[in-house]
Amino acid sequence: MDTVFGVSYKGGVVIATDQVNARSILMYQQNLDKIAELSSHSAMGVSGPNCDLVNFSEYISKNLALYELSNDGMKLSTHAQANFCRGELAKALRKGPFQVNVILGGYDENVPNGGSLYIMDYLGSCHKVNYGAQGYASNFTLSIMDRDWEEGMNEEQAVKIVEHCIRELNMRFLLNQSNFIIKVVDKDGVRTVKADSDPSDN
Amino acid sequence: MASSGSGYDLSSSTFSPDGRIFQVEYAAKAVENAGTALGLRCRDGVVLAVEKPLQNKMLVAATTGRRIHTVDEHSGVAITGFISDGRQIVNRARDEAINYDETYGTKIPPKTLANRISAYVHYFTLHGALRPFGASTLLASYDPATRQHSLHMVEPSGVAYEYFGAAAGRGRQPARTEMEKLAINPKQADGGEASMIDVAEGVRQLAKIIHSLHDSAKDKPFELEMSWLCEASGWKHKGVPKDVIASAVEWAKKEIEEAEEESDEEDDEGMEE
Repeated sequence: MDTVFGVSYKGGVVIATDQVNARSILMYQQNLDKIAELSSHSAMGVSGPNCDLVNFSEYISKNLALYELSNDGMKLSTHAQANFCRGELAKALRKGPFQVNVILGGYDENVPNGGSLYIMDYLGSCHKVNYGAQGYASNFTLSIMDRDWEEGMNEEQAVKIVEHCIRELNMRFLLNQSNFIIKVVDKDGVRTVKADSDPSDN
Repeated sequence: MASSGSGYDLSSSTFSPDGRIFQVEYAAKAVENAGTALGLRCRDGVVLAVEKPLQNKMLVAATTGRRIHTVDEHSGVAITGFISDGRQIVNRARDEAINYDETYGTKIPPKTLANRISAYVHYFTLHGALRPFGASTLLASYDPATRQHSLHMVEPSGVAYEYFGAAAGRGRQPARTEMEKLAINPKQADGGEASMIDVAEGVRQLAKIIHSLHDSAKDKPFELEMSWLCEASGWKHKGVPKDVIASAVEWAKKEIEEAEEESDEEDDEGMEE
């Protein structure tokens, strides 16, 4: 039921998710941050039950931090991080699967457009994409992204597409997801562009 | 050699009173008495060369007893010392490289590979039940992400450093002296990066160094094994083609002859006066 989608542009990526944490007929919270910051220049939007969401994103981000500590500060590229993440999903699949679908985006200096976006599901598939969406949201947003996305866009244009998608979801998606959180990953790192509801507000 | 171990050299998990681990030093001795291995980091790639002494006239020299091995497409190692020990290091390096690629989908960065090999070699220096490796490993590697090539050497103690020029084995001292004369250090080369030698020149120079160190009276006849990892080879670790080695050796022998003639003439002049 979670909405997770992302758009890459020249110089970085934008990832957006809804902020609903609910089960059955009960809404636990409306200010959940579902975009995990993996490393200084990468983030992962995660959909699925809250337990797996938190467990998996912490597992990946802590292991990536461990790599940096063990290897003299060397950073893993977004491609390497995505492959590692996919490997963990695949390993867990036939033992105790993580029921998460993710969109991982990051910035690397030596990659042509700077930003790269990877879409992975709980079965361990992984694809590098220009834009992608997980869950029911994909039914509504993929056609918009198909239409609006262009090579060489800048951050402003990418965020506009994200906002267009959110407007569409608000109008046509059955579930009321009133709050969204949007994060951008570029050469300056990961930053929150917009959070309709403050995740740190307890 | 002076110091006797006198009881502190029985195990690699024992320090001597003056802070040495004799077993590791003895392992290094095994390398010091073996065939020379050289590595050179040139402007456009890395060259490895090993002197392979031909133990036996019956040996099928060309294909057996290889001392240079490919670890992954983008990495190669040259070993000297106990060749069987070196083989184990090569196998471990291959495992590390494959493992890294399967986990991260990327070729293992040179420094990381060097650190993994050195951690493995070091492990064998602190167990009572294991003996240190009697082999040094020269690692030529290329990082596709940063587009940098590099040369590392791992010694039996487990230390690994990055080098412009590295030498191990019998002729390492004179080899180092010769390598220092070459333009391989961008800070010292007069014209900076652009005036550094390229792999073609590196191949010739290493051939010359190995041949000039070899004493045909004392040492066994040898085969020269060479490999390179350079722009021309598509940044893949490959053996230097036999004809290139042959012409490098020809050039080397000529240079050595001319140098001997010159020094003979100088001797003669000295005597006349």
